[in-house]
Amino acid sequence: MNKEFNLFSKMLIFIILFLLAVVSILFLSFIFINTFKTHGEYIRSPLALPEALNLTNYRTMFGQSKIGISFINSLVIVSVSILIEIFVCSLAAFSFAKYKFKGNNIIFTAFIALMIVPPIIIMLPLYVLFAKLHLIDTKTAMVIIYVGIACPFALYFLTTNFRKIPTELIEAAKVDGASFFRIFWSIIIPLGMPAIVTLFILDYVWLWNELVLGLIFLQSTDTKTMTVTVANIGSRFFTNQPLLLTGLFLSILPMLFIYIFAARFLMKGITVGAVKG
Amino acid sequence: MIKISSFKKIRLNSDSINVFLSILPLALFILLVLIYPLCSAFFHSFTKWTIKDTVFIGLENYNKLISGGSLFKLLKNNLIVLLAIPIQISFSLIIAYLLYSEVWGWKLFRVLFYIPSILSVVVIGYLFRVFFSLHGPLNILFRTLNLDFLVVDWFSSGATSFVIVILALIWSQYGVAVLIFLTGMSAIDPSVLDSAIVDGANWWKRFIYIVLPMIIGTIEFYLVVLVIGFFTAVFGFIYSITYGGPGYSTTTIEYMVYIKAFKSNSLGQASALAIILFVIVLVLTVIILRVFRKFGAWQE
Repeated sequence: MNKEFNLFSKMLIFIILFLLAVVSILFLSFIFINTFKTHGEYIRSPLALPEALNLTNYRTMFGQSKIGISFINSLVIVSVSILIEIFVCSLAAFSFAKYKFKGNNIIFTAFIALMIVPPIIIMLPLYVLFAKLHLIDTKTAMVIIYVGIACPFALYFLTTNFRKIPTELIEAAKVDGASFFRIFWSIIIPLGMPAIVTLFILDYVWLWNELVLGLIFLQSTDTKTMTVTVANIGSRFFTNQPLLLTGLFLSILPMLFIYIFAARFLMKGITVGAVKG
Repeated sequence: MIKISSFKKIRLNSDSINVFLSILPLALFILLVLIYPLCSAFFHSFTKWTIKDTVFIGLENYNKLISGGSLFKLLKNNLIVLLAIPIQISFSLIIAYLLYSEVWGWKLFRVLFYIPSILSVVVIGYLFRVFFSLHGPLNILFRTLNLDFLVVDWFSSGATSFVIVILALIWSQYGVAVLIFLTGMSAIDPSVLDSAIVDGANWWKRFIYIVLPMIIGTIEFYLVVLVIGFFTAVFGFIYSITYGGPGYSTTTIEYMVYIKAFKSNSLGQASALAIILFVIVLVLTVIILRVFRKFGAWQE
């Protein structure tokens, strides 16, 4: 198909797409170079390279703002949430995908329809409930909420993928006397692994970057996730842009790291549901 | 819509206790985190609600929102945000079609275009806020180039603030859109396009008469995702770019729920507003699905 563009339009298209791609890289570089500047230097020349490798901003971030602790919090909250979510949802997805039972389709549709519930609705009653249970500002509360909001999509994603596992395999295992949970553990989980890995990465990026619920349920340094800490730095130190940009840079790093290793999975996962049939 | 009938037939017979046990944990989470809060918010939207007690006041919350006119101001802001959708979809469709036509470097572009999508809303929001601020890099650049007429105080009015919010929204999501459309396009049978080439259809004609109709299902899917997302998940952008201001000129329904609940402590009114938001999203989703189903039937 490439043949029908002449050399001029080929180059023109390339240049336009290249400029579009370069915007991302320029923005990331803009953030990076300013992490080494003092406030004064930033005001004078926000687009120039730093005069010296000044690490004060990083020291403030790790010292005063304790972003290291936030990093660990994010790691713990997001990882635990997703592990629970994947266990809970793949178990249910196995039944929805492979068993006949009364109300299968109705319950399944009802559960995945909950994808459209705005997070802003659930936070009000949950805040009141968790306040009564003294669970505000705890990692436990955050994990429970993240598992809950992630479930409808995870159920949809895993069920569609588990349907592709041949039913004959499960029947054969049944004849050999394998129990329900044995089949789940030794057939569904291994064969569904590609889907599970994709879901893991998709949800990792999503929950790592989640703001509104974290902002409300996490309030102290010991529980705040990185996204919440950065949001707070933004509202407190907005006038000190280099410091804010350092916070942004540190919170991007883990996601960039994941992206470099997992771009393949992410690209596959994001398009699930895009094609019918 | 999704063809699952072929799978239904090979489902195994019930294993009731195990099936029940396997769904139970999921059901508990969904009940606690989604269904209970939804019902509770609905109930409390008719009350004056504080953490300590609840007083039933009927439709007063809804009345205040509607007769005070604040609902329509907020709704107007939500609709402005939705302006990003047609721009987003047409822009991403063209890029996806270019990548699909395998222009130079398409594989590399596919990866690079996705980078903004992994950044958190807060990162993108603050980045845009810093970059476009009055004494920020963009305006400094224009001043040094003696292009003073291009210097704009973007955050001084609602209209210009929205331009930045919409830019940020589009930039943060176009990589995902391109990827979704590209997947839709790669499912098209190449022989259809080949015979169109033989018949003399040029690049644009093939796009309009073959590619677009064939990926209408994909566009529908993504439209639903965008409508839900732009109604219920722009909080982070508003929070980090404009704080809803100047005044309330960029405050959306979602952001107002947050302000009402956690700044002015009126949980009942916040619930009423949240319920209205939910109903709007529900109705819009149903309408889009209906319209496209008709459109799809007409196609066949």
